[in-house]
Amino acid sequence: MELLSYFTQLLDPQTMMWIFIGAVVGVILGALPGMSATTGITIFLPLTFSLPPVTGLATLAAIYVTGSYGGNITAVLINTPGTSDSLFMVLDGYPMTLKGEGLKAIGVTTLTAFVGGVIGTVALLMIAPQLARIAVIFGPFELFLTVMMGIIIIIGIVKEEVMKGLMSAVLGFLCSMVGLDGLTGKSRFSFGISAIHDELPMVPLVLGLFACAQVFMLVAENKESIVIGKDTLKGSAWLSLKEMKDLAFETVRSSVIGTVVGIIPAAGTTIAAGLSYNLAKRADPDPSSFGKGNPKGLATVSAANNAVVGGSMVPLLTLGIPGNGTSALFLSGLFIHGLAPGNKLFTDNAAYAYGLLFAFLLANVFILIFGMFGAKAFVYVTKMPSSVLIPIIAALCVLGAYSYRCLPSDMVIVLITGVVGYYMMRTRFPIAPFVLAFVLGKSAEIYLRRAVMLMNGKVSSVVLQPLPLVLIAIDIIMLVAPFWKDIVKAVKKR
Amino acid sequence: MKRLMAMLLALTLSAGMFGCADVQNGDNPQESESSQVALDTSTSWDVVRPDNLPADYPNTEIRFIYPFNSSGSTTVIYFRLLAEKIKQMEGWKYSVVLNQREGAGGDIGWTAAAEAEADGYTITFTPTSMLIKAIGESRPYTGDAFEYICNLTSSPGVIAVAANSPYETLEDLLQAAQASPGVVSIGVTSSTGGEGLAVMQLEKASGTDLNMVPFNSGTEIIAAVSGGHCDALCLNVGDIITPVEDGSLKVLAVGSEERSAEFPDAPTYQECGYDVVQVNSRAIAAPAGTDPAIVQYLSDCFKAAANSPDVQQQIADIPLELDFMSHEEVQALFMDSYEEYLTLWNTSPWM
Repeated sequence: MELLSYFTQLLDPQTMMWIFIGAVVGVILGALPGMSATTGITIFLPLTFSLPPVTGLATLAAIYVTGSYGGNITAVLINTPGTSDSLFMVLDGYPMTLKGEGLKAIGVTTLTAFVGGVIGTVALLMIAPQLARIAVIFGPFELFLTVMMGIIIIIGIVKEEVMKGLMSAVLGFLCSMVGLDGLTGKSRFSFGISAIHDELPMVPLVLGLFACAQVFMLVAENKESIVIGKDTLKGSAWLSLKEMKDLAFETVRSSVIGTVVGIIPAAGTTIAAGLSYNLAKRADPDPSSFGKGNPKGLATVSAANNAVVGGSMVPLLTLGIPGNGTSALFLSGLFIHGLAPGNKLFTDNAAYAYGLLFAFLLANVFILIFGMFGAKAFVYVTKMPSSVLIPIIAALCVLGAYSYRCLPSDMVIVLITGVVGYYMMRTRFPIAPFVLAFVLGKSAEIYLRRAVMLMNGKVSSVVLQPLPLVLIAIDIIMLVAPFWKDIVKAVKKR
Repeated sequence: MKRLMAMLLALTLSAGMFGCADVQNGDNPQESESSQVALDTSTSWDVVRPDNLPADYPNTEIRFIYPFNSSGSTTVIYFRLLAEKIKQMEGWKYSVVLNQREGAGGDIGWTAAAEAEADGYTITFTPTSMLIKAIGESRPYTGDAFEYICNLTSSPGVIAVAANSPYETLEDLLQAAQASPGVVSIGVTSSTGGEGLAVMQLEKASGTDLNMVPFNSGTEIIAAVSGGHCDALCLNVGDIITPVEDGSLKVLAVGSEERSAEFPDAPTYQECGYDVVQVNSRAIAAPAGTDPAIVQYLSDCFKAAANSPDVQQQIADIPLELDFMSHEEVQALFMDSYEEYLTLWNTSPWM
């Protein structure tokens, strides 16, 4: 079996050591607020110069996979998502922690991330060339309609505070317009301030609104530790067979969604997680339990997040089109080792291509090992005295913000948005809609404007196609579904 | 427990610092140590230090300001390999470090480089498209703001369409544009850069009106064109080698004065009857006023590294369009191009 020989080349001790190092670095950087797999790959990219191609690429793969998982840990345990990718993670993860179920939350997020990662990678392994077409059938108009799905999800997460949620989202849209106009390259709404000439930077903004605000919140609450009075370290991270059965369907469905969305260029983790979360919530017999610490909510998000990793590699390896910023770094990794993406990669250089894919699988196994055996150590953080925890998070916030672009002004931004986030938390303005609108508003605007430019003189041949029509239908259904019962009621009354 | 926590804290903090330092530097001590495995024993290295070169040069790190996101740029990979080779062969104690200063379409990095001290320890990445931007937006990084050290790669512009497109020649495309003005779409990465300028010149030369649509990156354009969402693209030859090989794009014409080595069957814009030349040369430069001895020395070093068999073997499979020019040649090229763009701007500004 050729495939087997592609796998066994990874079992060489030096390669295994590098994958292990990559996995450790990935988890640590992923867990630190503001750092991510992208940071890790940037650091390690020059290092892989001197490694054999398979070892080098496998190391980067390990960082990518575990880095995307590492963010789960801190999001779940201390409510500090570092990027918009783990935005949905806090919705059910942190309430679980507050209930004293931190250990179980880590178990859920680890197991489902493993399943999601494996499904995404297997899809990549089996049907990459066939799937690659998905990447190009999405033009700017189709991408706009996909991003709209993400925007519509905002309705699903505003919960009781509808007015406040929508106000928060509108504010997010406004902020997304600050900076360079994606089409003309001119700076707008930046008021001549050089720190926001390009954009309101995403990482410092998310860090401020969540992590930094959480620091202020912990100070104001004056609690001894995040969780008090409950023995959070009792029990085990492993789930019972029944618990696993309960989560199985949601996990698999979210993994498939994550894989497919990952393939669509530029759609990314946020939309994948949002779509799966929304679907799970709507399909659940008790939707109101979501957002209050329902393990299913956490499971869908972690599975989708990690499945995106595999999906995003499909168009990259087969067409050279990166699905997101992190996978774009892989392009450099391939080029450094003299490998060009494309069909040739899977024929002439099959040993490297499949070696890389198997490394993704191995990295997922490392997630399982770290997550399940490290759970107790992670959860200890919820028992850590606030006097120790608060300065650590505060320092990491500032550091993370700075490391994003290495601009000192970003450290000011994190503090300002931290104050804003704190008052939003105190006045029960939901923050998630703001961030979602901020992240997606940007892409929605540019895709729509580009689509309109491309429609010049041929609207019908762009809009009246099967895929756009299906996407429009999905958008409308998603928009109407939450109010369907009310509409039916109103009609019956008449 | 306390010890564990202290360790954790130290580890996380140091990881953070490490992370940031390296985003800036991208160079690692380990890297240079371990890459010395293949010591070059060939005799091709013949760099002579000029007499008036400061004896201790370089006595600290040389900063290479790169004004874009360097991921995916094959020229940066090439630059790194060359710099690594030079350090090894010349026995420098210090590295050339990558200082990524992205933003505002290169404006932030170039402004910093043009205004940096001309002490020989700051160099930057200067493609010809920089000159177009400098003129159009009256920025300080004009043609004479730099001493050009050497040219690394040059990419002719290219116009391509999807493999199944009805357009077979540049003429077909432009005729379609003439028949329905503003409908035939052509994707570019920047409507005010080299590509946008070329498209505008072509429009003028042919009296047609294309629908120019700016995208964020070359890969996005390739996806949109091969998926049939955009009719044509104007990029650099190097951007589309793989998609053409894979059969998703076909080339209509190239922007160089002579046919390109990559697509020898494609005619040039001039052969098609339009007097337009579109070539993006990617050079490196030091701020004007840098000691000529240093510029000459660096140029010689890069030339020797580019000729080294080791480096040539490392880049054998990377799609680069090598076009090495040493100091004198590249200086002349950039000054000429700058004059040309200025004349063009004065007669028909493109913004």
